[in-house]
Amino acid sequence: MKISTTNRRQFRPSQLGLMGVGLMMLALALPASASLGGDLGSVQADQAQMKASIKITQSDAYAVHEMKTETGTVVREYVASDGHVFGVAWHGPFMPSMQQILGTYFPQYITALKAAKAGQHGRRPLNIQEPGLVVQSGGHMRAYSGRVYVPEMMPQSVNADLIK
Amino acid sequence: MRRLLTLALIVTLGLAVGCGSGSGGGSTPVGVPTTVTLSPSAGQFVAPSGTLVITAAVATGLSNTAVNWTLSGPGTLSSKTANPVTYTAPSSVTANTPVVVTATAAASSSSTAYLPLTVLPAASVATANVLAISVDGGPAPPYPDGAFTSVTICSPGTTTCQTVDGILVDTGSEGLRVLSSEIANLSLTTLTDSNGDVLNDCAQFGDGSFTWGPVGLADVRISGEVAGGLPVQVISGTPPSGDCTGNNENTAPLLGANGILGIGLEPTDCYIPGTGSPCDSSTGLAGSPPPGTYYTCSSSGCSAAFVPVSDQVAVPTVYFSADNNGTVVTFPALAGSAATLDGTLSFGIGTQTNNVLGSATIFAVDANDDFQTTFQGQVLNSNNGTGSFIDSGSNGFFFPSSFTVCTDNQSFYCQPLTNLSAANLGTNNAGNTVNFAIDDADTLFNTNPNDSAFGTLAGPNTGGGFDWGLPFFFGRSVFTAVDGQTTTAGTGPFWAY
Repeated sequence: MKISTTNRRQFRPSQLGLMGVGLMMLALALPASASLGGDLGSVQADQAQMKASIKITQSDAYAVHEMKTETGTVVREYVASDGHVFGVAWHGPFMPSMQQILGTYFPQYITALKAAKAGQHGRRPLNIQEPGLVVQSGGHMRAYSGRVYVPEMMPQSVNADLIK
Repeated sequence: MRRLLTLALIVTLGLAVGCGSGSGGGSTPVGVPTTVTLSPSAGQFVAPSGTLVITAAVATGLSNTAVNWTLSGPGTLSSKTANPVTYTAPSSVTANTPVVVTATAAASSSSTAYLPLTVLPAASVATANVLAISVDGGPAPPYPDGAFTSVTICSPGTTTCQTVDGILVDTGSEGLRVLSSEIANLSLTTLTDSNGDVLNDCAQFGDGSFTWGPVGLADVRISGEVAGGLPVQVISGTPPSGDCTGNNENTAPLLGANGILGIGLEPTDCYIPGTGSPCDSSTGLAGSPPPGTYYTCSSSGCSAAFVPVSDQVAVPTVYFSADNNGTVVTFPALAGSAATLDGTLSFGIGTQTNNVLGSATIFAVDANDDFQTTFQGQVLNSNNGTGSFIDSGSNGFFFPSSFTVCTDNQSFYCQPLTNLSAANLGTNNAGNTVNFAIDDADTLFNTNPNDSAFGTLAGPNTGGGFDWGLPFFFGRSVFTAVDGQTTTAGTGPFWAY
């Protein structure tokens, strides 16, 4: 396709300035390690990356770090008493960065995702259940929901249904 | 009568979604002073031998307010210079035929505006708002329970068009997206910012896939309706690493389709009921653009960007001159499975005799565009984080349950069950009960290898709500009223069936 362009739209200078600052913050906040399987530091990195407010709820076996982004998406990270994130759930109008949420599990997710899509055409909620990684995701445009968890990392008393 | 109605509706549209001059197919770029405008401003169809009076207005800044008219396509203009001018369609055409009428300011050859039209065969006029759709496996079969159709995409302001088939009909997303390879002969107008960086769109889907590519303006002709200057996503390439991640479906084998016709409840792909567009900086929701949606890209990379609603990838319906308040998808009932199942997508709700609501139940929706489904003791709504919705782009019934999941494909259930029922309830407290059955997906696929339509396909939506996919449409007419649009049953968004 040939493309011709036109200046149909113009940013105002103030908007350009704001955007530049936002991007710089993003770049500075990128974590060395990321969420799933990561430690508390990765939760803080996620909070910074998403520029989210955070609310922490502690129970016996785990803590829930609930982050709400300014665009309304809620991300809950489930942290075991040993300090590791064993599950993450999200709801909201914008998908969180799966790369950020999955961290070192991201390549495994992408491989499983491609396999799931290659096996059967069609669009439907995602259900990946592999040894060491579960990814369930669905919803529709501007209302997404999903969760990821590592069954082997879950505290013994915790049921996967709690990750939501 | 239809012509008068047309003008009134497009004015309403401009107020409702801020489409402004961009909605009517005018070719004047934003940022350049608008010097020529046309009335009517929105594209439409013309019957054989039909006439249309077109008036040009030239900005008073020009001392010479005369215009010169040109015609592309068949038919005649009453004059090359008179204002208004009358277009007369040919007495017969054998197929839908694109026509473009262009006005150029006599004082400035760069100041133009155009009106895209479609001349219809006489037999097509009564059903001008009806598009044939079919569950037929699409362009890269097998694709169970996908509804596909054709749309005609044209270089803006020209009669250079390509008809693209294999477009998936999706009430769960907004906007027209088409593979770049399917419109290789067209020259769409891409949008750029003041630095010349190209506007790109990332459309993420709940299944972990996404489509990526530049936003291009096109004149889109669907059945007898015309969406002039419609921003569409031209699916191509690869986004930078970051927030637009997952399965990049930029070919027909990956997408299972040549494009997606998103006809959901919202006017654009970044619009939230009761709020407006968080991608538009004027909405004032966020200090920085939402992640994973719009980007401006140069050779050195991409940056997340705010985009005015009028430049966002939009549901074509809201750009039509009439029949623009929503859609109706209708399929016949299906017992078992079938190689193909033909249905219709009708534009407009209560605007023609073929799209009346009748006794359909209205389901108002919440701030997520969701309603409540109660199924086997589970109350699935947004308050519980499990909102329920209707989505022709989901290829089955999907809901949380302990039913047996297939071992080879964990996306489907492998447990036949009859006499299932679920209760749907809108936020307006209107509701009804849906009866359905599901089958073992492996058995369905293995014993019916040549079939594409399955009325009993289902799978898990663990942790989610009830996703009423395409089989829900079999034996029903399902109405989708767009956010902010007026219907005989009130203002959208709502579902009705």
